[in-house]
Amino acid sequence: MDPAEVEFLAEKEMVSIIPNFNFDRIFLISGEIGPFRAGLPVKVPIWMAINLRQRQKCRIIPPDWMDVDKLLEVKEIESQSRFFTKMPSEHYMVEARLLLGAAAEDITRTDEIRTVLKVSKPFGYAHTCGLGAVSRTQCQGWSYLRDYSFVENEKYFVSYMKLPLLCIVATRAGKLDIWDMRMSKLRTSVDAFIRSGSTHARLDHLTQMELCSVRPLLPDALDQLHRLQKIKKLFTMSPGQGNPRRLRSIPNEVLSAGLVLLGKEFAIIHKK
Amino acid sequence: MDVDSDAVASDPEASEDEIITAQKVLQTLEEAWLNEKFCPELLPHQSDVVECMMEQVQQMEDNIRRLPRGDFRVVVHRLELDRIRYVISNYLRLRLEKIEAFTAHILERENDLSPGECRFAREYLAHLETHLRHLALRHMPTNIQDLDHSNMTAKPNTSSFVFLRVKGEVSGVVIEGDSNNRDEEIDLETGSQHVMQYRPVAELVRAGSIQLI
Repeated sequence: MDPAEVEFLAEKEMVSIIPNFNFDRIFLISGEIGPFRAGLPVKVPIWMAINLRQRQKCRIIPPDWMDVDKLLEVKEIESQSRFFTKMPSEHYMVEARLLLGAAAEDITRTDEIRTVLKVSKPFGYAHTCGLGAVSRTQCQGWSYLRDYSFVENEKYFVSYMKLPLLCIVATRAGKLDIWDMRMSKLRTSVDAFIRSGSTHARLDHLTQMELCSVRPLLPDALDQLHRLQKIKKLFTMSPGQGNPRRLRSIPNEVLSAGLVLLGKEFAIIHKK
Repeated sequence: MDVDSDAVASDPEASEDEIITAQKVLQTLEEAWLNEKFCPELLPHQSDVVECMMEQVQQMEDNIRRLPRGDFRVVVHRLELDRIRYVISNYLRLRLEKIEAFTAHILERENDLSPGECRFAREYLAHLETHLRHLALRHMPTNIQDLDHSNMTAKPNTSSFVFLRVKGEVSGVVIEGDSNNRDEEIDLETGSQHVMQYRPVAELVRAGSIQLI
């Protein structure tokens, strides 16, 4: 699933608008909307709100959570918890981007909201595709790494795995936004998950866009590791083959082979 | 595409849906679409839902045509129809992609296919065979001219990993052993999200108590 499709899903969420026209109920296939009374708030899906806004037919009332103070609170809670906390909306990133893009004038303190959420003005999908969420503080190092990586994938991947550390340092300095914080948590936990070799993990409170950012990498990586595990099982079960020393060395081989695969996969994604 | 319209052409169960609201049908369709998208194997077809939605779309289009030009509703309805059409066509296309990838394997379980898809799969397989015979096999020595499906069938990788959200509580899902070869049993709470292999939850996805995300 690409970010555009996540956006498609997010556009179904409801948002309040204040129309500047009168109209009766509209019977959409997905339900009734309206009636529209000029000056009175009414709930409509985001796709409709944006269309109406573009035609200058309404003002959008930003959702409750789209407020700098509330978001700072969310950020505070997020930074204090080791785990992912519940976000005010399943699609907070997309909603913020859509509404800020279409109706920035209807929302107060937009620049601060943008900073807290990391919704850049020309919202490049580049940083939500793949695992490339980079905070401004890391930008220089990152681009250097990335250029470097096209030559040597493996090295790149190892460096990449160290990035969470950088993120943590930056969090302490209070420079990170919500998205960066969550991505760094995600990276750390993905790393821990793969190292632990287990086959199940809970991902409560992760939003779709965040899942989307690990989707190109994580499930495939786990598949490959699973394959290697199966081969290892076959190998250990067949009696009288190989010497014990060789057997003991397998977990490392499995791990390093997995990491090499991951690195290549990641480079491919990035080239796209 | 011909197959698409055939796939939704006729199903006797469609009349049962009339009690359910269009909104509900749309939701079912969207869930089926997402499940199909993330599921490694082909899920049972939902042609009654697709057909019902197509009817709705058709009806709405007729209604729109009757509206006066420049009516406020036209744009809004069009937008919605485009969104629904995207879901339907993407859903059907995803299924066709899977059918093309795992044709012979899927034809072993024809119940999962709608009549149109079934015809498509059969024809696709027949064409593929003719093609292979024509291009290569007939130039081979006679003893290796046979096409053996059991050996060359591509099967979906059901042990691949998926993201999922739990819709109805399930307890005691057994997950294949981790690196230390222990089997693990977990309970899935409503609303929680997980990443795990598809196989242990395959039945739950089909039963609808789990949504792939």
